[in-house]
Amino acid sequence: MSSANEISGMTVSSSGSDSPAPAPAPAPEAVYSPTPLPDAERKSVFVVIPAYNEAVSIADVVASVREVYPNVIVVDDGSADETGELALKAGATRLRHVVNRGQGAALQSGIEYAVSQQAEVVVTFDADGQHAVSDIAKMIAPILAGQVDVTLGSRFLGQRPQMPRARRLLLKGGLLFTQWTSGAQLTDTHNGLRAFSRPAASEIRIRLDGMAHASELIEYVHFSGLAYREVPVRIQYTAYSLAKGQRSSGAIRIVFDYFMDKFL
Amino acid sequence: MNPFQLIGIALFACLIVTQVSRMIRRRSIPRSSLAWLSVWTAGIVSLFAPDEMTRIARALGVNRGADLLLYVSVLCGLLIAFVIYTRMRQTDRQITLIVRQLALSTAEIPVDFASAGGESFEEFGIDGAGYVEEAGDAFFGSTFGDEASSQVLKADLDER
Repeated sequence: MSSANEISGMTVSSSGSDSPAPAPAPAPEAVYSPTPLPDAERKSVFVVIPAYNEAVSIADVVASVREVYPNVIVVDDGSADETGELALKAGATRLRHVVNRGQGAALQSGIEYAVSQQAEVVVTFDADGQHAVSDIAKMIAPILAGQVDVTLGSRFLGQRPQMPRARRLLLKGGLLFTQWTSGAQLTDTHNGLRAFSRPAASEIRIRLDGMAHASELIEYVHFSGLAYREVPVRIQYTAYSLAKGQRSSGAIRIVFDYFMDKFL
Repeated sequence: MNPFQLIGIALFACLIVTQVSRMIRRRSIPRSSLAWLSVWTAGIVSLFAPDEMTRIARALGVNRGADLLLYVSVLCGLLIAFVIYTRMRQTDRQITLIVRQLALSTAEIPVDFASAGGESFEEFGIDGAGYVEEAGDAFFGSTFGDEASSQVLKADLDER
């Protein structure tokens, strides 16, 4: 089960792996400030990357994030490959789960560590390279401006990315599920790109170790009274992320974990 | 008495002897042992006097003693599955907390933090270069000291 450790629980899993890059959206760029952040602010941003057997992509992802944000924390979730060493060499701080505990557990570890390092903003980012570093600025702008506590990346807000129909339906299902359980009216509930203010990051406790944390997190944010907002982001479906993405059958497990936690 | 009864009774008798000898050896009578003893005894009774089982079954609205036994064992099976599942989740949760605590107290910071984010670490009182393993204590002072962290862990566990 734990094979499923990359982030946005959902990436396209079939055909068209060499498909054209998802059309950059004509998205409403409401909150994005194009001016680069001052050094002090960049250093108060901590990027948490949970990674499980991501040796292929981790070094590049860490390096590209560190070009802008120096503080990168890779949570090596019991990888059997060189993920942790490569992340360290690429300049990330490495937290090592000695055994695989799942993506939810890895995120919680990374967030706790970032908070202990005086992070002002904590960003979660996928290890498989599906997110764009340039989107991080959009994610953190509303938080640095003090408008919201949490921003959630959305690949659907104001855009229509290309993906196989089955995957679109599955994501839609996950969306309806999360809307039903949490009452939050969102457009993309299973996106690994999220950002938290320091107070939000200190408060959040992800208890579901596996992939069901996506629903848990949104529900928590929705009911805790934290101010949140969705931000349009791009998902780059690379051949690698496509191959490594979640299988649709994982959805059953997610729903099971979610309800077991509710009722037991 | 047919062979099945003989084998069954011998089996239950063995279980009872084992249980009782364990109780004697440990000089204690735990409630769980009593529960098991009563189960084994009921097994022997039902083998000795199958008609009694049928009588009890009739009284409960089930036709045959064998059916009653089946229903009861299915229910017990489900109950045991439930208990084990709950216990397992609790153990999982505890393992995660331990793994997390270990990860936090052995954070490794990159060798070349002079490049992009270098100074940011100096703010936290790190001057040397290279790996800092077991960084927990050195790094955060008391925040992640042994005492504090074990308290955090304990608090987390108590939450459950």
